[in-house]
Amino acid sequence: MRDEAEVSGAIERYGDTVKRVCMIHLKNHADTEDIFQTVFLKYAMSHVVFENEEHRKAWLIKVTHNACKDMVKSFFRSRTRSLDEAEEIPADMPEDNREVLEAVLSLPGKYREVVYLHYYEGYTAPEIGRILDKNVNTVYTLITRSKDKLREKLGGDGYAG
Amino acid sequence: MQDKLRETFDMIRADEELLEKTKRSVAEKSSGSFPAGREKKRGVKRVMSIAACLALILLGLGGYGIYFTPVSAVSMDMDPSVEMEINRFGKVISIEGCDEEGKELARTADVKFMDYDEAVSFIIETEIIKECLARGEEMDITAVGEDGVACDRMTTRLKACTRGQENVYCHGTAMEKVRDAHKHGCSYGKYSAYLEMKKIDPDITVEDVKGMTTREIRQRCESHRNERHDEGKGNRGSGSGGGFRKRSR
Repeated sequence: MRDEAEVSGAIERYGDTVKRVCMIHLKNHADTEDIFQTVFLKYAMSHVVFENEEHRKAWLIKVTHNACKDMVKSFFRSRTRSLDEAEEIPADMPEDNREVLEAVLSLPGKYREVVYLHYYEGYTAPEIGRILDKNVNTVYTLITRSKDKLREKLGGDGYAG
Repeated sequence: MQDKLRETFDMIRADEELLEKTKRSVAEKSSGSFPAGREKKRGVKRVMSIAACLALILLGLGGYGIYFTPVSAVSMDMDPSVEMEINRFGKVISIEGCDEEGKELARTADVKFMDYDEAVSFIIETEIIKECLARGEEMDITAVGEDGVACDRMTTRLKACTRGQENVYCHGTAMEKVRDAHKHGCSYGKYSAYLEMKKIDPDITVEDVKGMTTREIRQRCESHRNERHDEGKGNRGSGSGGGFRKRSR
C-alpha cells in the first residue's frame, strides 16, 4: 500500500487527467466524484511498481477508463441519467472552445476516447491499444474516423497532420 | 484544430474541492482505521477469498462455454462476402468467408472478440471493401438475431455504425427463419433475401438465386413489389400471376 504523501502527490499531479477521462465518459459531476475516489483508492492499494511517470499516468488512465466503463455498463439508468443531465462543461469556457468540447462529447464513446488520448495526450495507436485493450488496427480506424467526424461537425477546419 | 483541441482540454481541471475530498476519502479508506478484531476478519476474508476463487474457476469453465456459444450472426454480403457469429455479449467469436475473396478477407480481418458493430465498421474500412464500394458496388448487411427484439436491436446498431456509408444497406431477420441457409450453401443474408423473394414467387428455388448477389435479390423483390403496386392501382382485379422470370437453363 502506498503512503499518504505518494497518493496525495498523484492526486495533485494526475487529478486533471483523471477528470478529463471521466468527462469524456460520464458527463456528470456525481459520477465523476465516485470514479475519482475509486481510481485513487485503487492506486493507493495497488502494488504496481511503476517504471516511470509515463507508466504511472498510463496506468491511471487505464484504471479510470475501466472504472468509467463499468459504471456506465452496470446501471442502464445511470447511463440514461448521464445523457439527460447537463454536460459538465465549465461555465466560463469561451464559446469556440465550448463548441469544440461539445463536438467531441457528441461523438460515440469509442471515438471520444481516442480523440482525447491521441490528439490531446499524444499517445500513438499502439499505446492507445494497450491502454484501451483494443486491437491496434481498430485504433487506427477509430482515429481516422473520429477525425472525419470532427471535421464534419466543426466545419472542416481539419487537423494538422 | 489540434491546437484548439489541446487548448480546450487544458481548460478541463479538477477543482480543489474535488482533490481535497478525494484525498480525505482515500486516506480514510486506506489508513487501516478499521474496527478492532482486524486479524480475525483477515482470516475470514482469506477463507472467503479462496471460496470465491474456487467458485470463479467453476464459473469460468462454464463461462468459457457460454462465451463461445453463438446466439446471433451478422452477414455482410457483397463480393466478397463474410459471416460473423456473435455471442450473447455482442462479441464476434468467429468469422467465415462465403466465397473465395470472402475467405481471404476473413483470414486477414482481425475482428474476433470485437463488438459486432465495431467489427462491421472495421471490415467496411478494409481496402478491398472500400474499393468495391468506391466502384459503386453495394453491400447488404443482415443482422440475424435470436428473436425479433434482438434482431431489431442489432439492426438499429448496425444502421447507426454504417450511417453515412453509401451503398450499404442493413436488414434484420430472426435466426429461426434462416437456420437452413448453410444447408443450401448460402449465407444468412442471401437466404433471407431469397425467402423474401419466395413470398412473391413461390416457384423460385435457391439454385435460381445462387448466381445473384444479395443486393440484386432484394432489388428484384423491391421492383416486383412496385410493379404489383402499380398494377393494382391501374388495373384492379386483374389477378395477374406475375412472378420472376427464371434464368433459362
